[in-house]
Amino acid sequence: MKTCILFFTALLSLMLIQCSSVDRGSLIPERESSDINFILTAYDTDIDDPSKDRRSYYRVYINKIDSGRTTTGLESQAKFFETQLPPNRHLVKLEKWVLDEELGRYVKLNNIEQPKPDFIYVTADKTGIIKVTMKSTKFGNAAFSKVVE
Amino acid sequence: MLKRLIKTIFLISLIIFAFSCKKSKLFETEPNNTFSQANRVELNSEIYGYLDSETDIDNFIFESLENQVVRIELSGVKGVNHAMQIWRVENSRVTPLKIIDDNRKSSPEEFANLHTPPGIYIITVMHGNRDEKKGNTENPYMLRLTSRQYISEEEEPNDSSANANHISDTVQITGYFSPGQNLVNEQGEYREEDWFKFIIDETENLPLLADIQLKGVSGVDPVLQVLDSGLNLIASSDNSGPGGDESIQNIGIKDPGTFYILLYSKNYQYNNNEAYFLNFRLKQHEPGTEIENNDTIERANTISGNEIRGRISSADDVDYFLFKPDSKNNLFRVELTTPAAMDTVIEVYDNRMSKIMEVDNSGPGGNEIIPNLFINEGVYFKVSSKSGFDSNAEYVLRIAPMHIEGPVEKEPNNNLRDANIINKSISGFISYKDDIDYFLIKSDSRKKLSLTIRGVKDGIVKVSTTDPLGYIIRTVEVKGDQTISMVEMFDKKGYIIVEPVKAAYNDPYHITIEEAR
Repeated sequence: MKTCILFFTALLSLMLIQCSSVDRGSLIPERESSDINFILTAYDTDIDDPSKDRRSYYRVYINKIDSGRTTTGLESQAKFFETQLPPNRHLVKLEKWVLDEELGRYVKLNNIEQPKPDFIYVTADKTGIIKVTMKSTKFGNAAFSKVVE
Repeated sequence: MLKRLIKTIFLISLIIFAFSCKKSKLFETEPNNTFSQANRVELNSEIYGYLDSETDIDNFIFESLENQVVRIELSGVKGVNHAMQIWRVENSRVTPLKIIDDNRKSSPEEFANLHTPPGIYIITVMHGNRDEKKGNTENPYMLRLTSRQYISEEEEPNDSSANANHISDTVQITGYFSPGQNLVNEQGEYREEDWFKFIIDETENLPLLADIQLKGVSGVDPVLQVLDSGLNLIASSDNSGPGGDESIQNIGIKDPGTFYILLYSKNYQYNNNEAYFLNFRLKQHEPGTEIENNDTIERANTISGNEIRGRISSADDVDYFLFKPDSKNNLFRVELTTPAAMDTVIEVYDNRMSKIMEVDNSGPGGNEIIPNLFINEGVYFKVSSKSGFDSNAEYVLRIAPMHIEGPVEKEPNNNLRDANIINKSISGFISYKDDIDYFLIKSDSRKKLSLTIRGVKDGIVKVSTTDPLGYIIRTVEVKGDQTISMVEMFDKKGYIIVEPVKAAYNDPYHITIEEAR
C-alpha cells in the first residue's frame, strides 16, 4: 500500500513538473560568453504560497569539485549557472541552499529535503552548448531536461 | 589602732580641704539679655551660666587685641537644645557673623576657628529653634574661649563669595569643617561653607592652569568646587567618601577675572579638631597639555601638533579635544597611552558632532589604538575612564599621520549602508573590538571574481561574501597574515564582510579582487 502511495505521489509530481504552465526554460542567463558551453537553469514549479517561496541558490559540483553556484533568487524563480566544460562526459551535481533570515545567511538544506535526483551526466563536445534545466517540487522531486544547441 | 584611725581622718580632711580650696568658677551676672548688658569675658578663660528660663538669653563680650583665631566651646546642658550666635561690633554697629546650632538637646556647641582681627565681639548663648524652649536652673553651661596665633588659614566667617578669603598664586592654607551648620547662610541651605578667591588680572600671561587639592579630615565627606566670576560652576570634585581627599587639576584660566573656590561638607558633617589642608597652585599652561574645563564637546581643547596630555581627575571627568589636520582626507593612527589606574575609552565624533566610533579595546592600564582614522576637516576625541582615575598621572593622546599604499577603508563602514566600495583592492583594519567592515562590489554584469585575502598579523578574521541583498553565502577564516583565495560569483552587486575573531589592531588586512578565469 505504501509503495503504491509513493509511486502515485511521484507520478503526480512528474506530471506537475511536465505540465508547469511557466516556461522558464525559455529564459536565458544574462551573459553567454563565447567560451561558455554549459548553462544550468533551476527552479521550483509548484510554489503557490509566497510565504513558502524562499530565497535560495544551488551550489554546483562538477565531477565532485565545487565549481561555483547559481545566481540567487526565490525558489520559484529561475537561477542560472554557466561554465565552460572540456570535451568529456561530466557529472553535474546540485546542492540546494536556502536563506535563513534570522541568521542572515544561506544554509544548506538537509539531505532529506534536497531535490532528488540531484545529478545529471552531460557530455560536452567542441561545438554545442548544453542547456540543462532542473525543475523541482516542494515534495523534493526533481526532473532534469537537457538540450544541446 | 586609735592612732591609725586619727591618721586616716586627718588624711581625708586634708583631701576635702584641698578640693574646697580650688579656684572658684566665674559665673555670669544676670541680667545680660541685651548687648549693652553683656558680661565681659577674657580670652583663654571660662565662664559659667544658666539658661534658666525659656526666654533667657546670655550675652558675653570680649575684645581681641591682635589678629588671631578664637576657638569657642559651649558645653551641653541636660535637656536643653541651646545655640550660640557670634557678632562683631564695628563703629557701634553689631553685625551677625555666625549662628551655631547642631539642633540637638544636651549636646555641646563648638566653633573651631573664629578669625578675630582686633575688635570687639559678642557671643549670645540662647535656646535653639528646633526643640521646645525650657530653662534649666540646676545645670550650668560652660563657655570657653581659647585664642591662638593666626597662621596661613581660612578667615571665618567666609561663607559667601562676598566674604571669600583672597589667596595667592601658590599657597597651602588650613581650615575646619566647623561648625556643621551655619544658619546665617541662607543661600547654601544653612550649610557651613568656606569660600576662597583668586584674582587674575590682565597682566598675567594667559592661559594659566590652576591645581587645587584638598586633604580631607576624618568623618567629613567634602565637596570641592571652582566657580568663575559669574559664580558659574567650572569644575567640581566629589570623588571620595568621608575622610577622603578631593582634587581638581589643570583648570584653565583663559580670561582675567575673579575665580572662587568653594568647600563644604555633605550632610552637615563637621570636625572641630582636625584641620583640612587646601593646596592651591597657579602655573603656566604648557603647550600640549589639556586645559580644564573641557568636559563638553563645545569646550573641546584644540590640539596643536600631534599630541596632547591630560588627566582624568575624577570619576565623571571627561576630556574633549578637537583635531584639525593640516590637509584634508588624511589617514591617522591614534594611540592613547593610559596610566595604570585607568581603563580608558576613546570616542570619536565628526565635525558635525556625530559619533563615529567608540574604542575600548584594552583593560585597565592598557593603551587604546585606532589604527586607521580618516580625518577630513576635523574630528573630536572624547577621552574618559570606565573605571579608575588618577589626578596625578597623565595620559597621552597621539595622532600620527600614516601612509598605506593603495585604498584604505574609511570608518564607519559597519553596515550595508556605509559599505566602502572596493574596486581592485583595499586595506582595512580591525579598528576596535567587534569592528565589522563592509565592502561593496558593483559591476554592470554578473561576474565570477577571485578574491585574495591577506589576514591580520597576530589576529584572526572571518571574511564572508554575500548575495546582492547582503545575505551571507560563504565564509572563510583567515588566521594571522596568511593569504587565502576564493572564487565567488557576484550578480552585479555583492558585499564582502570582514569580522574579527581574534582582534589585532596594529596591522591591516588586504583584499584584492580580480576577474576569475
